[in-house]
Amino acid sequence: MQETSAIEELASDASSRKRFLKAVGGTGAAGMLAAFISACGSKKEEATPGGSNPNTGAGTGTDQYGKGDVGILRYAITLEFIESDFYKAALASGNLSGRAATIAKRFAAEEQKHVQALSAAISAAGAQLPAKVSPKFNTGSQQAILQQGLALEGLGAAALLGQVDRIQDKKTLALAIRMHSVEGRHTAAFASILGQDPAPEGAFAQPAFASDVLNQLHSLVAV
Amino acid sequence: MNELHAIEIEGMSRSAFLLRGALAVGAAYGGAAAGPFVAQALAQDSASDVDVLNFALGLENLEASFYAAALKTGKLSGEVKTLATEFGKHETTHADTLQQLISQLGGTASGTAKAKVVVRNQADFLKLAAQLEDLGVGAYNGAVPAIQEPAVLSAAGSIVQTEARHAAAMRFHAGLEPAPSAFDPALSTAQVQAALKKL
Repeated sequence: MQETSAIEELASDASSRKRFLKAVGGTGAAGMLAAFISACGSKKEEATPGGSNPNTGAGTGTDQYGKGDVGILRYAITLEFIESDFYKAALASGNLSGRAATIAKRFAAEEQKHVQALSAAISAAGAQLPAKVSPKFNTGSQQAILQQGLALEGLGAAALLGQVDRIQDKKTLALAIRMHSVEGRHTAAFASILGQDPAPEGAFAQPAFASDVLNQLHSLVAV
Repeated sequence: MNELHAIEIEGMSRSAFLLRGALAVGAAYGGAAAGPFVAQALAQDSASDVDVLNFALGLENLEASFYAAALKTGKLSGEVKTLATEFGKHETTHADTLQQLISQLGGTASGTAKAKVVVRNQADFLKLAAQLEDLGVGAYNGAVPAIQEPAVLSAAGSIVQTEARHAAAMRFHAGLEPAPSAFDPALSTAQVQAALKKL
């Protein structure tokens, strides 16, 4: 079901998606400036289906979780549930030791707090929590756990970044941007333990569309 | 009081004043506490996107000059030196982009604040880098809700994630927790006022 809707969204949103990717696609300052100019020139365009941002198209794909901010919050908690479950599985595996174990314990607690904050925001909006999914994690070794943590946290950070320009409510935006930077920290921590570049995308972290995030989650943890 | 109090910002622009305030709060309560300070200060001022971008520009210039000064000492080596070089380039790119965004919005980049930063050795560098990057993360997080233009939001969001990655990496190499809390710490108006009085 997710794949069908992702394909539909990509098909319906091809032009803004292309413009957005071209604009922010890893070309640094020039890319960001292009994004800005392109956004200024397209203000009067009709909003892309799915209530996404008419300027960038970055928001497509969250409408299956609900309209507007509620959909974004329910999408975000879906990701946080998976991250939270990941740390539980990682810690339960007994395969972590030393600094990796210390970090995983702390990150587990932080993801739990994100789940609580999002859950409260969803309830306050009068909406229900989304159904929990059953991801399959690879916790067979410390190396596997660290690599999966790097991928999941990087995806979570990119997913939230893909939504920041379409959140309407300022309190929701404040919540999302702060959670997003913590996901960025988690990603950099895993990269540092693995001896990899903590900021491989350069000066500008890249956002991800909801449809792409859901496809990647499918291949990462089979949900 | 942490190492941030040793950074001096010259200049009388609004951006320089805000940056001094953020540093004072960061010195008293930790870098991330700059978030609620910046949020309150910008809300009080009804700041425009150009105001927010000018504040961010001051911050990026401070960070860029910090990395340049640190590298110039010749006291950095190995992985830390590699990161300082990489992160310094990121900050310069951020500053260039912010300047372009300000012009694009029809604004004027405010007189860049000059910063005095002293780095004696690698251990000092890591401590200060962690605090300064934490401050950057907090400042952007605090400023983001004040931004109106979606494209500016996207840019600020992209930058703050990069700052967060820098902060986590520097903290990691300094032997600190890379992500010390689930959210920025809360800061009361009274604490903000107390920090401002010390300026």
